[in-house]
This record gives sequence, structure tokens and C-alpha cells, in this order.
Amino acid sequence: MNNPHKSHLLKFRCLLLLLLAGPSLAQAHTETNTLGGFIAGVRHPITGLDHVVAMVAVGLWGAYLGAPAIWLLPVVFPLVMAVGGAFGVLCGPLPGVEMTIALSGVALGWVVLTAAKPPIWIAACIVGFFAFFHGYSHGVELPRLANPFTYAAGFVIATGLLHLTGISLGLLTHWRWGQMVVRGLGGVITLVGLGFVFGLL
Amino acid sequence: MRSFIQRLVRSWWPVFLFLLFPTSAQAHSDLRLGPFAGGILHPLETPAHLLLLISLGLFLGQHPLLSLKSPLVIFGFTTAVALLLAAVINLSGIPQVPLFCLSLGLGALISSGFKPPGWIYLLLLVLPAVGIGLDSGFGSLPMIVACEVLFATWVCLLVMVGYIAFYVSLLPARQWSRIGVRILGSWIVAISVLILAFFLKNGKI
Repeated sequence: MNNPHKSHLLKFRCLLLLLLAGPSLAQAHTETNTLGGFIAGVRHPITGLDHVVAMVAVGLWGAYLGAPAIWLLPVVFPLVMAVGGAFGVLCGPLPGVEMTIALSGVALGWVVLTAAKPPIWIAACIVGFFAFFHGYSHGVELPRLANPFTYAAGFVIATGLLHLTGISLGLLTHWRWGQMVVRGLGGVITLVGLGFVFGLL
Repeated sequence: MRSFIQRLVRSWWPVFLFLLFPTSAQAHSDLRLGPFAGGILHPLETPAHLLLLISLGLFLGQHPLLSLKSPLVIFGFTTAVALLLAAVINLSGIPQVPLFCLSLGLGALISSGFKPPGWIYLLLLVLPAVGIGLDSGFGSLPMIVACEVLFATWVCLLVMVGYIAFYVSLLPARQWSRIGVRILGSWIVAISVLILAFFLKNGKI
């Protein structure tokens, strides 16, 4: 008798091995404008596809989970992102940043695709974990900038607006067809994340 | 026909009188960007002030005490005293770090939705007013010009906090609007944390 639980575990292990096979290829964090100022800050999350898919996925997942996740996740993300950013400003290099950012697309897309509904604290921890690394990548650039305030304001606002985009799209889940669309978007985000993991994007 | 004309003249005579005195249009007078405009723009051009004013406005709007009258009176009075003090002692500014720390605290309270006890509420009202007021001094300006600048700054501070607080307090009790304010609070925390980290790294903002 084929055990479905074992089959899922095997698939998960295969996927994990595949991911570990290509760590050196990951270049998820695409280079963006390093000049100071608000526009540079806004451009950073918006022009980096790795950031875009992760932020939108957070909003989609929050909308899928409903209250209180719909507001908790977009609040947790900037808070932890700021801690990651401060770590990036103050501390030295962090291993595995690019890979983790790439994996954030895979993981967050996957939970939307599968319509995963874990307890709220687990969802917050998952989102917070990835937010730390996204924040770190922003924070590393901060000391090199002419105007850190406007840069910080720009990228925090742009990040928040991407979450709101995800939440807006996630509200489609009120309809049956909308649920399929949202899960489909989750699938697309997973594929984009995998593209970054394997260096295809 | 005659009665129609009579009615027209009777009801519209001020308009006809106005039309008898045509003059060339001088409606848009020269915009004098003098001390007053400088004072108005000062808080808007200072990042630490702007962030703190937005935070305070959101916080007051989130927890309006006695329909906002008394908080705004306290804020207005404290700001006026601090501005006058800055003018009298020729203060040209204070460190920006405490202002960002206050923004951080207010942002945390906004994002958590926590309503602090009365004395903390009062402290959170007075400290930003004192901080911004003392940081708005203009050093060696002549007294009259300095007073004009400080009065404009005072008007800007009061109007800005008042507007934000008023409109936030008017938001319906619907969940989405309250959520929006809390999300804005988390953005304020994020910006403040990053700026403070930058200060710790470089020793300046």
C-alpha cells in the first residue's frame, strides 16, 4: 500500500536536494541604483523582481489567511525588515543572503499555491524570517548613500505598497474563480523564485 | 417683460454695481518666500521633524482624548514655549537622534494599537513638542525676523499635527481603516530603526 505521507516526504526531500544542488548559481538580489534619495529607495524593491514577488506573496498570503493575518503580516514584515536592515548597516556580511531571498519567493509562493493555513504565529515567523534577509540587503546599501532618510522612507513605502498590491489581489479569494487566480499567482511566484535559485533570472 | 427686467435688476443689482468698476486683474500677487514661508517650510523640510509630526498626528488620531481639543492645546502651548526658548537662547538646533527615538516609540505604539496610560500619553505629547520646538531655533537672526519665522513654524506644526489627527480620528471604525493606520505605524518604526542604525554606524544622520 502506497503511503501518501511518505510520498510527500520523498518529494520534499527531492526538492530540497535539488535546491542544495545549485546554491552558487543564486543571484536573486539584482543590482539596483545605489544613489541616495527617495526615488532610489522606491526603485530598489520595485525594480528587483526577487523583492517584488516576495512582497506580493506576503500580501496574497495575508489576504488568503484572513483576519488577523491580513494586517499582522504586513505589519510584521516592515518591523523585522528594519531589524534586518539595522543588522546590515551595523554588522558584517551574512552568509546565504542571496539564496535565502531567492528561497523566499519559492517558499512564500508555495504557501499561496497550496493555500497553506498554519497558525498565525507560524505564518508571522515565516514572513519575519524572510523579512530579515530582505531588510539586510537594503541595509547593506544604506551607509553608501548620500541621503539615508529619504532612501529608507522610499524603500519602506515601496515595500508596503507592494504588500497592499498583494492584499488587493488576494481579496479576489472572495470568489471561487478568484481563489484559483490567487493560487495560480502563487505558482507563478514559486517558479520565479526557482528561477532565481537556479540562476535563470 | 418690464417686470422681468425689474426683478432682474432688483435681485442682481450688486453684481451690476460690481461690473461698473472694472480693473485689471491683480489676483495673484508676488509670492514672497520670506521668513514666514521659510518658517512654514522648515518642519516639512527637516526629516526628523516631518516623521515625528506624522507619528504624533497618527497617534493622537488613533486615541483621541476629549475629541482632540486638549491634546492639541497642550501641544500648541508646549511648542510655543519651546520655540520662544529656542529664540531667546539663540539655539540653532539639538541632536536629531532623540527625535527619531520618539518617532520609533510612537510608531511602535501606533502599530501595536496600544493605548498608553494618561501620564505616558501626556509625555508623548510634550516631548515631541519640546524637541521640535528647541530644534527650530534660527541662531543669529534679528529678533523680529526670528519671531516671524518661529510663528510660521508654530502654525505649520499645529496645523500639520491637527490635520492628521483630525482626519485619522474621523476614520470609520471599520477594520480596514484602523489596519491602515497600524501599517503606517510599522513603516515609521522601520524608517526610524534604519536611521538610528545609520547613526550608530556613521555617528551622524
